[in-house]
Amino acid sequence: MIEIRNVRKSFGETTILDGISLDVHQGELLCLIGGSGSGKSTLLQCINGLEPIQGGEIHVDGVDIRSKSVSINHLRRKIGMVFQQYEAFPHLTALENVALAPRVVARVPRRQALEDAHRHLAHVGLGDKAASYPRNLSGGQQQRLAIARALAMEPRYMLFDEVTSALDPELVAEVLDTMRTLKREGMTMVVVTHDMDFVRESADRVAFLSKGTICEIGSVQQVMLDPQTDIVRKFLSRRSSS
Amino acid sequence: MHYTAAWQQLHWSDATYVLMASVRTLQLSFTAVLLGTLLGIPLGLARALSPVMRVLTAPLVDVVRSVPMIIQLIIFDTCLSISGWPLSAFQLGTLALGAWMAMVTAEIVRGAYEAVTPSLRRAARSLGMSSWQELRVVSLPLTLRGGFPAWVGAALCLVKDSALVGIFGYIELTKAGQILNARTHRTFLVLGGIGATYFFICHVITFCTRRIERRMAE
Repeated sequence: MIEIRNVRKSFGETTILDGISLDVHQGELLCLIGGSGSGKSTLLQCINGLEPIQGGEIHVDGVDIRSKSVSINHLRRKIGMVFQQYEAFPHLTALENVALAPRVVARVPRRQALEDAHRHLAHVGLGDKAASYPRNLSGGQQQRLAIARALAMEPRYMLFDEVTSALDPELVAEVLDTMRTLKREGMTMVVVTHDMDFVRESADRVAFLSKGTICEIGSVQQVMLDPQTDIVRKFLSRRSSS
Repeated sequence: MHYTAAWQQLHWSDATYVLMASVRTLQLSFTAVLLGTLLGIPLGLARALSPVMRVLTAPLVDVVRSVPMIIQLIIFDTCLSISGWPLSAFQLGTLALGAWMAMVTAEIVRGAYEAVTPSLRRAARSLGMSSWQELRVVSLPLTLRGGFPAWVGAALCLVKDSALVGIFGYIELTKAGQILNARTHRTFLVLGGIGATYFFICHVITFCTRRIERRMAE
């Protein structure tokens, strides 16, 4: 379980997160939605400590991410992350991309790591692309590679940061399918997205962020079909008309 | 009065002389490039990673990169002689050319490191890598790959600049050319041949490194 309590984050004078409290329960898919600049991507980066927070607390499985006794690097192994721009390592093949962190961080022997990497690539439908370099893969394939790379550390949680926003429309489906597979397998996921169809169909819960605070949080039914605040209603009507 | 010319024609044996001189040019260049690269990579990384190091080493880097090699050689030579620590011409050349190579390599490494996007490093860190692990397996390989073409350019520059060490008595290719020219007065032929030899050396280096570049790009 991830517990976020009253988290505040600012860049200089600009407040990005203004007292966010939120729980992510085991096995659920929580979607974070909201306009750009609402702080949803920043919140995601705070969860695994990529962005330091200025106030509040974040606990992952009961461990404070700012605790001195547990290394953040150790904690991050539990939390996989996938980025908007894929960020595949360009100097490595797909297979090496996936095997790298297990070898370097978890000290898995080379043979074992490569064997596992083959399995993870097959899992995201890239079984035949093991020897390809990222630049020879499509955006959708690179994004699935990034998912496989995160899965290779066998995380308990997966964070998705607008993972389909940079993709050509016809490549979005393959990435979303991979995410649905993960959900079926019981992975706990926090997904920042603008894809309202995906939210409606896959989310267990939805949180709407605006100006660094949570406006509404609840089931898809509550937030998407019966929003209580004007700002969410406006946001959703703009989305559905576009 | 009857004068005889003091000069003699070129002999085939002079080819051996030129060949030996080429080897000496290569020896000097190789040693200086090796020294400069080994010093330059850590220096460049330190400059890229630490603002303090960047400020502290800036004067050194700027001076060595912008003062003409001939002046640096003379200053090195004079200082070392005064300090009662005279070096052979080869050692002097290695030191001065190596220092230049180190500073140029450092700037190439810094630039190539900064060309690796912060978001890629973040992705590596998100997998649980420490900053050292990230540097070792992601940033450093990408930096070396990105900086390689510019580094080859610097090495070729150094091969040509090594000609200046001839002034201090190291008989490398250009100095050998001058000696042959003084003896034979076949200026065009001798210097043309020496120039062609430099071209050949650089061409071979370029040819080999292009292959390496292509393999890295695969």
